[in-house]
Amino acid sequence: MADGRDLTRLDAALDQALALGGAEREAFLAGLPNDLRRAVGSALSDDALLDHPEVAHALLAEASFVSPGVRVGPYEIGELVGEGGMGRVYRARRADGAYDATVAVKVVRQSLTLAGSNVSTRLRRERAVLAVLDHPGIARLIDGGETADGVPYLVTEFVDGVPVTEWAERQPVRQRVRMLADVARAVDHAHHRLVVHRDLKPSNVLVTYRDGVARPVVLDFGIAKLLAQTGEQALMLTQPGRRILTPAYAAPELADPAAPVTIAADVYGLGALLYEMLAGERPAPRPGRLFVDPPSLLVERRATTGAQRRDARALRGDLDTICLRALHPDPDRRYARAADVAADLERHLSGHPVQARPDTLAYRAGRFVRRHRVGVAAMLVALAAVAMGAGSSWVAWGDERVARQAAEADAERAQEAADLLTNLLAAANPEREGAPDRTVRQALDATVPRVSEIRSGPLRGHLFGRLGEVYAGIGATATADSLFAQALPLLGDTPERTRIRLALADTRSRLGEREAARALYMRLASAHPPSDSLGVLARRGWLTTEQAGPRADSLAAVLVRGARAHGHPALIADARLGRAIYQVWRAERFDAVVPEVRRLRDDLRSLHGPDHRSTRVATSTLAKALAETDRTAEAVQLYRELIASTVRVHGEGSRDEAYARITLADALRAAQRWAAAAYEYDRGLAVARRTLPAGHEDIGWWEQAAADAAGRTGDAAAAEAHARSALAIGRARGSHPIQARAHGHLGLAMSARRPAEALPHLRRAMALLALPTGIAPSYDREHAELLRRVSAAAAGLGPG
Amino acid sequence: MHLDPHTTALLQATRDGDAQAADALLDHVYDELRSLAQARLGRESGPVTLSATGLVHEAYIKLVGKDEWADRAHFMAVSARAMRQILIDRARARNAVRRGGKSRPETLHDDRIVADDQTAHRLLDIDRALDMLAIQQPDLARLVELRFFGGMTMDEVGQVLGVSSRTVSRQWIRAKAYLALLLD
Repeated sequence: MADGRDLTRLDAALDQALALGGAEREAFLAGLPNDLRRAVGSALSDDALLDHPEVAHALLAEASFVSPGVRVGPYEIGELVGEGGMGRVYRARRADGAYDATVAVKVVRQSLTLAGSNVSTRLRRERAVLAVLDHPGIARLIDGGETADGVPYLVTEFVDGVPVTEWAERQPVRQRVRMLADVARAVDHAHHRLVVHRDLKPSNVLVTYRDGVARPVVLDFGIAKLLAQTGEQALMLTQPGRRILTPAYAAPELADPAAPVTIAADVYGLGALLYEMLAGERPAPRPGRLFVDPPSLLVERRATTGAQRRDARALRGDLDTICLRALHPDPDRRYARAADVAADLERHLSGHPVQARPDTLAYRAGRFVRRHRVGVAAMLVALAAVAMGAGSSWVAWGDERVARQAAEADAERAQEAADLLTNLLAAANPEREGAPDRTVRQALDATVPRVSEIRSGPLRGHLFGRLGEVYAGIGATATADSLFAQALPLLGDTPERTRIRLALADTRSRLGEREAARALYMRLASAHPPSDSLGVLARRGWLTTEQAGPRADSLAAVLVRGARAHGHPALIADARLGRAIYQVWRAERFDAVVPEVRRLRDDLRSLHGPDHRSTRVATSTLAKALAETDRTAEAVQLYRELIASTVRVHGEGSRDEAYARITLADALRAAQRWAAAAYEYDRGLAVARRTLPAGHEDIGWWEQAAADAAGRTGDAAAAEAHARSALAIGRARGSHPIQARAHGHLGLAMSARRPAEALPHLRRAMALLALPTGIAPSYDREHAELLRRVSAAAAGLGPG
Repeated sequence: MHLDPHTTALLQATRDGDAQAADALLDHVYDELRSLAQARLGRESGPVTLSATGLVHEAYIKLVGKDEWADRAHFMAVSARAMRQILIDRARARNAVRRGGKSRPETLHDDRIVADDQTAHRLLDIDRALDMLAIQQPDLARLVELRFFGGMTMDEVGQVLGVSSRTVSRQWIRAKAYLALLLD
């Protein structure tokens, strides 16, 4: 062994060798003592290991140290027969001769066995459960343990077969169907013994020949569950994108690690296998879709021969329906049991009608979202993460150039994720179906900051816009408004930008920013002709922000004419609705308006359904027109329907509910049913204060109306409180009509008990009420009526 | 940005000469690198290549944060030491499995696995030689640790040691010569 002196000699020899070149170096080396010659020689040449650290580092990638020839427990490992995400599978046999059978040893990836999990204990416990499975279609779990370096392994019956999907490629359709029915029966056997497979996929379902007959054998029953307990869940949580975006065989609800795994997951797995056996492709919804295409469609698209076209025909109908039923995204809509899948397949083979029926429109994305809140929440967040693209990891390394390249390379995938996200966001929109959900709301709130991190401006803008639409849909108008405002500068000169500008105008309008909204609407209207769909929508919005007058009248006419020129029924209905709202609000010729609004409401009902927002607006408009023409009973009935419909869509306490209740109160007030009106104003205002921005102009109007109703019932205290709220808003908003009425109602409320305090308000009201409102004739009429009452009260109190 | 106050505190204490902190830091980084490697393995399906530098960088970003350049050199050195332990542990485990197993049937010879066996053996030899080198030439031993076990480039090693990459290249040849002599 070398000591210090050797090293000194070595240094000298090395220096000399380095100073020499070619043949001289060779000669010098040849003259050195053996040990020095070997040392210098290897230092100057490329060492297979020292100069190639990556060779050594390959040891890091060893999933385990199990390999052919080694012994694991009592088993001698043979050839590698399979490799997958869970680990490697080897053929093996008992080395101690206890029995002579070939087994499969599955060595689990180390990453699935996180520290602290006592695998062998759990394995023993689980084996007791799995021991009850005794079915020719199920491979038995024989043994299990840990290797010397702590890697768990499982021993199962060795099945010499091919994946069922591979086998299916060479079989007629009827044989494939019969095979899957057998698989389903085997799975059902396990289900009856309370064992769920939850990882059914082709590599786990093999076809083997016994006595010349092809039989299926399902492998790894219960193993997925075993692994899930050791750490697969952590893997799912850290890798949601990977799990969710390649959902080939996994049921969508498995995306939620906390959700209980039920037999519905296996029914989905059976559906996925059947699908691939029939369609020749894994079931994967096209980007942006929740449902897969029926197998017959795929076969038909690919078909080049007569036989293939015959296959497509054989699939159409029953088999398509059975597949899609088993693969339904909503577990409750799938077959309840694996046996039902088998039974339906057998019914199909014997020519009996199958139980599955094509899905109806009633079961759509919205329902799916509602039932799987957490899964959808996780998906939203995961998709947002994917949409961010791989670029972000390079940013951490500070290399902008690499980051850009990576971002470009990922753009396609990110776009796909964005499409899917968009679809889910649309599905989460309660305007489409069902009540808003707090969990979905939380998921959205969690998605926003993630979307903010997306590097691509246009993509960020796109998603901001989409998120804004969903927030607008669930009534979170202020959030929607801010998202639209952020989206606009990010979007290039695209149709999308125009759409978002319109959406922003709508939120501005809803937030009571009438002037800002009108400016946006006018800008859009000037850029789009009246017969363009955006032109129609922009003009409709513009009309809602206009004061009554000739300009608004002609705008209303242009609006409807333009929509008719465009020709789309929904657009025409929207335009008519805009005009009707304007006409009713303008409060002239109600009798002429009522039949049109009634027709319009019927049209919208059949176009969009009874709970659609436009239908609800038409109902409200019709009710208002009826109330104004003294058909109060019918109006109140319609308002009650409207409130019920609003609560169905948005749940209790929404902004729309506030508007519905207030308009009901308005109708009751117009009918001089003061107590009922006061009651509805109170309920409506309570909701409005929670759902509208503080100081919203509409609240000012409603407070003064509530003051009127309360005052007429003799509740001076309530009237005064409402009037004071109205006055504050009127002042803050600089609205003299609101201030005029607030002063008037305040003065009237105080006149009986505190005349001295009442008088200044009454005088102020008289001055302001004399001014034209500049809003609409009906407002002026109400002003005039209040002015008469106020004047009378003031006269009664003393010299004016 | 300190992502893990524990790591930075240990780095600080180690710089101040606290031997216990140095051990704790090594253990900490060892655990982190190993779990990162396992996480990577779990993520990929099929054959996996893991780069030691990649793991070290990942651990650095996670434990220290990308802005703390002052601690970088020190962290790299500790990581290389940790990576050495991980690799040596792997090599030992591999050898243990071999010894436990029966002799391999001829038909199952597999070039890749044989090569890996030799790698494991040589790795253990290098480890022992490196211990001896550390007594006589600690600087060279550090260099080997960084370059070979840490998988760093000459430039990176130079940055950690505060010398030029040319110097590193020259010293690397000396180190190889010494190791060859010690292994002879």
